[in-house]
Amino acid sequence: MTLQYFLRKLSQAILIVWGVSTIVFIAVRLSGDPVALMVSDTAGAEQVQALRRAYGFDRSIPEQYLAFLERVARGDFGESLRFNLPALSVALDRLPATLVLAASSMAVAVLIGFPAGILAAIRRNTWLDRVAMMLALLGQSTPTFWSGLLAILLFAAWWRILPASGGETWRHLILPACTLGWFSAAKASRVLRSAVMEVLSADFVRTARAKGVPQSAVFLKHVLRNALISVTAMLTLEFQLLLGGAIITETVFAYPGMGRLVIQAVGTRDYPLVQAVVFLFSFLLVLSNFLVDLLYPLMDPRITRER
Amino acid sequence: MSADAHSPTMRNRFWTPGPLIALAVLAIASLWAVAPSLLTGANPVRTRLMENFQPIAGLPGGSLAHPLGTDGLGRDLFARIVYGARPSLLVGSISVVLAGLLGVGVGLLAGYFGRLWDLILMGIADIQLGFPFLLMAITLAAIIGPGLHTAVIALVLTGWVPYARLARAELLTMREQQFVQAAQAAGGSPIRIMLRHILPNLLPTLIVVATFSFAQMIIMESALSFLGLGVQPPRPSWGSMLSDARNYLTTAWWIGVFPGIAIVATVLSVNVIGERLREVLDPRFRSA
Repeated sequence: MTLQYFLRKLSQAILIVWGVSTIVFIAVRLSGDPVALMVSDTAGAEQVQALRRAYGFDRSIPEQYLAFLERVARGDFGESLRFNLPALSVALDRLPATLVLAASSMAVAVLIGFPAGILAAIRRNTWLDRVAMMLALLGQSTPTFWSGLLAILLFAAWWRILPASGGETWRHLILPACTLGWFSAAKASRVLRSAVMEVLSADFVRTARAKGVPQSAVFLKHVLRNALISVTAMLTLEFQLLLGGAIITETVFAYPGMGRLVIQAVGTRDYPLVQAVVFLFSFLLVLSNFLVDLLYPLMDPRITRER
Repeated sequence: MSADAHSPTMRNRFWTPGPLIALAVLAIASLWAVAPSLLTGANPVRTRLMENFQPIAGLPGGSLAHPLGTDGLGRDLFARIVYGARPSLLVGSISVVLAGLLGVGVGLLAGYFGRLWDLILMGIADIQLGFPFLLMAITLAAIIGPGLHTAVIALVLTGWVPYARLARAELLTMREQQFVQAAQAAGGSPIRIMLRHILPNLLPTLIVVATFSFAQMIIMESALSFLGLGVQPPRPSWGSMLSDARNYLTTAWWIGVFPGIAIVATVLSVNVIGERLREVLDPRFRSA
């Protein structure tokens, strides 16, 4: 990996964080009085004035913009109105739960989606392929908040084998992780199927077969390894979608993560907390993207040399 | 490419059974969205506490007056599902059209006028990556409040990027082709070349992308309403009905089942039609 490549990806990541900050700044300014978003409805006029001065809202827009960027860089999003604590630390408290959920959903997606996709590609145009792809289409058309409700209905309300809500033990994780993972498994199987099919028809696979390399070796060494790159790209995207999906899934299962926190914060008009969680999510997305960009050259050295 | 699935006879027969059923489902859903009062006599917001939690017709306690039962406030579930079609389809179709127009416009501009526009567009598209739909919707809901307008704005602001990328990429390849160069040599203005020569060639791929994104947008609208950031009660929507149902799953399963079936049937139908359109329209699926 060249230094140039590293720096390019790093500057890209910084650009994204800056861009997101700017969008949030513009949105807040367009909405009218930003201080109104930062205090509770019962705040007195004096308190509002004090906050306006403290945050510099009496200064010019460019000055405010710089002050805003500086606060974002320091991770200072103000105090949560509901918890009376720094908003970022409230958000960080819930981060591990969300990461655990996203990671276990990812595991579910890989465990179901990969074998399904590979099988469908090898047995292309058989009934197995058709059933797998029909299930995938159905999975992609089913919103997680509904499959989650059905899961609660079956496993918690009727059969009573798993808890419906909460997040205290690993048993609380099963239903949310399967609900979220099932949705991604559908996408994973489709991507893997087409990636494997594409590599299967490549010249080097035909060559390997022609010179008598055993089927299993052709598959493991040539096909899967080359399909891995497009699959990794998909997995990053999937992880990012999972983080978004976590917001919905956590709400369905009353799972104590950042997603549920931010929805409650919108409901209680706790704007500083909303902002902190949104930035934290956004930062995670950018970070995961950056890390995978660094992984690519290890899998395929040609990538560093592209634009 | 296998020959059998793409032979001329198959390609010419667009309406295989799957897409036909899908089209029928969508026709019903659209009818519900356009004229719900023609299809159900019941009032979707009228509460009758004496009749709450009635199960579906045929089960003990159910009656034909409420074929799909009633919810916790005694509102007719079937009527709410019929009326709930409107926000989903309305938000989905408005957003898909606006996002498509915005995206194609930006993409063509970036592709045609070169480097500076290109840099700006790709920068914005990158930023989108760090600020996806739900984050945008949550931020907007916190600032301007929840509602259908929030859903549409968030969907358009986050949905235009694929169209822009597509339009730009296609334009860059087409610009080198003879029919475009001929039009340029004949003195056609950039606007005219884009509208008369490039856009028509772009259209098939655009239609396919738009169909799939329409399906996604229906899911996203109902997700927002489920989270309480979209359609506000008492107005019925499929997403908010499911959010209601969370509280009654042990006592009244039907509230949590039927609105979900409506969403899945609609989204699946759009996806099935999208798959078929892709097979017919997308050049990569046409075998030479």
